[in-house]
Order: sequence, then structure tokens, then C-alpha cells
Amino acid sequence: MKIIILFASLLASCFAMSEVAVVVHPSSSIDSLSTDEVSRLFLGKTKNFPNGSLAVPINQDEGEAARAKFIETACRKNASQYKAYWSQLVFTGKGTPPKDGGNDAEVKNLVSTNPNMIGYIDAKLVDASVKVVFKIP
Amino acid sequence: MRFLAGTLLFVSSSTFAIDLNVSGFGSIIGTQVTGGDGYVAHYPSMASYDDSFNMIEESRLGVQSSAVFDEKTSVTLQFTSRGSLDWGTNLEWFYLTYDVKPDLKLQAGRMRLPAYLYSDFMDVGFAYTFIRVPGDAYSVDAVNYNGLSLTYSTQLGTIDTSLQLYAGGETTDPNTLMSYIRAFEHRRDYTDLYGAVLNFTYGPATLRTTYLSSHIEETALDPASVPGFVNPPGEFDIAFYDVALLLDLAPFNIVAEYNEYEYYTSWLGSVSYNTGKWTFHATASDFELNEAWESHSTYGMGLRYDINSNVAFKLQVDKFDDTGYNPFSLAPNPICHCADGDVTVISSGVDFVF
Repeated sequence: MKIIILFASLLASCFAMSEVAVVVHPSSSIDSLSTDEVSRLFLGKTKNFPNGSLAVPINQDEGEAARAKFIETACRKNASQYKAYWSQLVFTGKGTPPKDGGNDAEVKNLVSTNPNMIGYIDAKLVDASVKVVFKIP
Repeated sequence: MRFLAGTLLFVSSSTFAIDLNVSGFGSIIGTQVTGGDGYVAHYPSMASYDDSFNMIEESRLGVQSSAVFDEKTSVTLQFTSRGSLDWGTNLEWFYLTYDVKPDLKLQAGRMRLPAYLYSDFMDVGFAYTFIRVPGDAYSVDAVNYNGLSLTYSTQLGTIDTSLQLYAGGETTDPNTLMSYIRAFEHRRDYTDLYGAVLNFTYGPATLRTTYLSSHIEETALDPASVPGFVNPPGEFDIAFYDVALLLDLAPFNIVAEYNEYEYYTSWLGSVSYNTGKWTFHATASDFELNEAWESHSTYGMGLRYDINSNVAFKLQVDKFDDTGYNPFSLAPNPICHCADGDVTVISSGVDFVF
């Protein structure tokens, strides 16, 4: 019985995590990005959007639901693997990880006021202050 | 502090209103040798064990600080303290980075010699699965260099490529590894040190190739104690090649690396499997001097458990076979300077980053 409840609550929490929207400034000329293009930015493999303009990726803080979902789906790494990946670059002068910009609301606010930034937020919070370029269902 | 966190963006802790951040890494590792007398775990710093339990030799702490002046320019320094070197604190990295263009990076100062696949981050245990980068295949005795490095990164179609060219020199005084192997203290000066690292990443596969060459001059620190050694006797040139292949076939991960130094060849291979917080691996490595004096191999299995996203626990068992011998007397010549170099080694520890 306990197992069934546990399973049910796990299932419920899966469904509770809604879509994550990858967002940029509304003035951006980028209309959509692929998974690969998004993950390359958050893995430091490129510093530019496909159109050549400078990109500043912003993560949510650790512990935020959207961060876990984004990193696992877009970057195909769990939280620890993501950090192990970045520690290979950070301590060898090869790169600096995206900065942590807070929760959904805080990241939305940052992206809406910085034309170079790209972040991700709960899709339910999307409004005209940001532009969606990719969605994780 | 959060791992390198957003402090950079939102807090400025420097007197001069530049962005300053602090991060670090460390490992606390305990090892017990069974079934033999001694084991060398890390050659460049001679982290080695006798037959008693030890938590010092491979334990280490690194602290890094970067000052970011503007979008193109920063200075980074990294101090490391190692149990094997009596916790002496060494400045192992200290370099200026200048991004000439987004795809062209110039670095000047003191950096890691990028001889091997894992060289750059071999101190950062959190960055890999095994408890230690296999020692057999990581025995170049110079770890860092002082000089210039230029890295160009670009995408050729769907292949990510990067080319690093570097030049410089280094003095090891004393040279920890060679002083141990030859049983007298000497220093080595590396001059005219040049190298290149070429990387290709295509989907899950990464191919890394590297070449380096250097002139080496050896000087005995106390020549009177070494019969027949006259300063300066040892001047020679070395060349080194390394090729490594990485396959990230989640949940499996495969690494193979092979290298040739002027006087030896070595290789490693490792397969790991990840499931959630657990990663298991099987790893083998081998070292063959071109002469009979030194020859050893290691077969090991281990696990990594991610306690949280900053801390990992590891456990590993290795079987180390030492088959080096004196070609004249045919007597065994184990690398550990002990009677029996064939050992089983049980190690566990915790790696962290902050």
C-alpha cells in the first residue's frame, strides 16, 4: 500500500512539473533554437547565438525544479554530472559556468532586462516580457 | 558558497570594484595496501603507501580565485596543498587570460602541462569517476610550465575542434619523481618546451591528440654523494605523443588513452556505467619502460556515489602487478623501493568542489 502511495505521489510530482520554456529578450532576432543549440550554450561550447550575437546563459539556482529538468533534458546530465563537467573547465582555465540567477521569477526578470541573456523558466510564467525560443515538455 | 555561484554577477567583493570569485576542490582519501609492501599512487608528487592505512598521501586541497577585469581579461590563481608533499602550499596555476576573439584565447603565466587527457584536472577528483587517474599512464615528471598558451576553438560542420599551442619552460627542484626513482636528489630544468593539443568532438565521441617536446638538463643537488655523476651530465631532448578517445554513450562511458614518451609507453582503458547517483567502473592501465627495469600494470574496479551535487564518495579496489627487474642480476626491481611490489590496494574517499 505504501509503495502504491509513493508511486502515485511520484507520478503526481512528475505531472506537477510543467513545461520549461527557454526564453530570451523580446527584442532578440532569434525565434527558435534546437536542443543542441541550447545545450551548447549551457555547456560553454559556444558563446554566441547561431546568428553570431553574444549569448549570456543564466541558470536557475540549484534546487529549483526548472533547473533540474532543464539540465537533465537539454544537457543530458544529472546535477552532479553537470557540476563535474564544469569543474573540468573551471579549474583549468577553459571556461566559466553560467551564473545562477535565482528562481523562475528572478530569471524572467533578468532576461527581460538584458538583450544578451538566455534563461529558462516555468512555461506558465511566460508573458510579453520574454520570448520563448525552445520548450521542454 | 555555491559552486562559483552567481556571486560574480551580483556581488563585488573587491576593493577595486572588479568581479572576484573563489572556488575550490579537494579530496580526502584513505588507502590500505594488502598482500604486498608498497604502492605508488601518484608519480609526480610520489604519493605512495607502505603496508599501513594512510589518509594523507593522496589527500589534497585546491583553492582558486579569479579576478575578472572585463569581458576579455581575467587573472586566475590556484593554490594546491598535498598530503604527499607535507601539505606545503604551491602556486600551481597563475595566469592571465585574454580573449583575443570569442574563438581565440591567449593565456600567459603558470599553467598545467597538458600532456595527458586528464592532466589539466587530475587534481580535481570530483571531475572523474575513478578514485585516482591511473598512475601507470600518468608519469611525466613535470606537471606545470611557465609560458604562453594560445587556444583556437571552432566548429567544422558538426565537429567541435580546438587547437592549443603552447611554449615555455619549467624547473623542478628537486624533481620529486626522478629523485625517488634514482635514489638521489636532483633537479631538472625544462627548456624549449613546446606542445600542441588537438581536440575533435563529434556527437558522443571525443578524440584528443597531443605532442610535446622539450630539452632537459639534470643537475645533482649533492653531486659528491653520487659516484660517477658530474654536473652537468644529463642533457637530452624528449618527445611525447598521446592519443585519447572518449565515448559518452550514456549510461556507459568509455575512455582509452595511449602514449609514448622518449623512454617508455603507457596506456589506460576504463568503462563506466551510471545509474542515478551511482557510477561503477572497471579500469586497467599499464606502463612499460623500453628496458626491463620498470614495468607495471593495474586492474581495478570501483564505484562513485554522488552524495549531493558538490560531494562524491568513492570506493575502489586495484590489483597492481610490478614486473620490473634488473636485467643484469634478474632480481625484481619494484617501483615502490620495497620487497614486494605486487599488491592489492583498497581505497575510499570523498571528493568535493565548492
